[in-house]
Amino acid sequence: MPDLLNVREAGRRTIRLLRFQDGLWDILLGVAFLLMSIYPITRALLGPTWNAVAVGLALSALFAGAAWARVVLVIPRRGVATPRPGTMRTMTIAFRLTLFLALVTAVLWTLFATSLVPSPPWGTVPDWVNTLAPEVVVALLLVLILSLVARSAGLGRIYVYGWLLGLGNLASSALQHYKGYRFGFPLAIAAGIVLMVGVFVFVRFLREFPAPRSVS
Amino acid sequence: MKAKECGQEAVQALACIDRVMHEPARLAVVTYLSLVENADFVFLMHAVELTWGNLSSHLAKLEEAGYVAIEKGYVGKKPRTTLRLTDKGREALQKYRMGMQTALRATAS
Repeated sequence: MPDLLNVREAGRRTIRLLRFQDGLWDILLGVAFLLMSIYPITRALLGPTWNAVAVGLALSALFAGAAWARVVLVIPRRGVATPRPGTMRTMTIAFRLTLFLALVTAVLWTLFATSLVPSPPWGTVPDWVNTLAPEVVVALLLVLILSLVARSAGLGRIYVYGWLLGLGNLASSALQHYKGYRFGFPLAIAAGIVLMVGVFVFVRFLREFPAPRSVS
Repeated sequence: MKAKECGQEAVQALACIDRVMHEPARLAVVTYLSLVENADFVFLMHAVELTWGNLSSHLAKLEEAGYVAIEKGYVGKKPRTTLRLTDKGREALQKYRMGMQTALRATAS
């Protein structure tokens, strides 16, 4: 029987059961970053607009598939619960931070892409700052956000995901800039590891949580 | 022993411990329910790692004490049992924790 009086551990266990026990979150994360790793290739093939459309469609299909799997395969086996706001506080902070950063990125990208705002005078800063500083910031943010998630769920593997994906993205950008590699294979390897772990966790979930014959 | 007699003495504090709550499986059930607004039977069974029959019998006792509300309904054609900790249950858990702390402090001093 799990720890009874440790409310914090019980909270973490609740989050794990509700969000991470089935491995779908890992699979989504892995595929999303795998798409990012081939983004420069598909962009060169399809052009910026159609590439954005294709990636958007692929991500939408992925989320729809995960939602279907959750309803059909996960919920009958694992059950459902509505956590109290306090139980999910750290997860909520991580989620809101991610949304905020995604929104800021989208706004800045739109402003620069449509030339509504002139691009910063990059010529005055050293080349490595121009190239890698944003990627270092992205890596640190990935580590921060995934560490928050890992801490709230008490899951060691998510700490590793943060470092893997952050450093993979940084290495891919460096290779792209200095060696001209279009395929971000360090990020693809990192995302592939996350994806494989997700698939393993999902299969384990299906084995350990058999579908009940008579539903409660 | 009446509530007002529950003092700081070890014996008094121990005598006031809620016997319904003072059972590991029921305490686990109440602890997990205190973290959620509501949960269904299957989720709780996995969370506290009890068998179907065992959880049912503990829930019956908790419902009898007024600590847990059990609602039976349907989602589509499938039956679903939804469980919720009542205000009385939440208060009893809080009292139980304080009572145990008092008793342990009293026995240690």
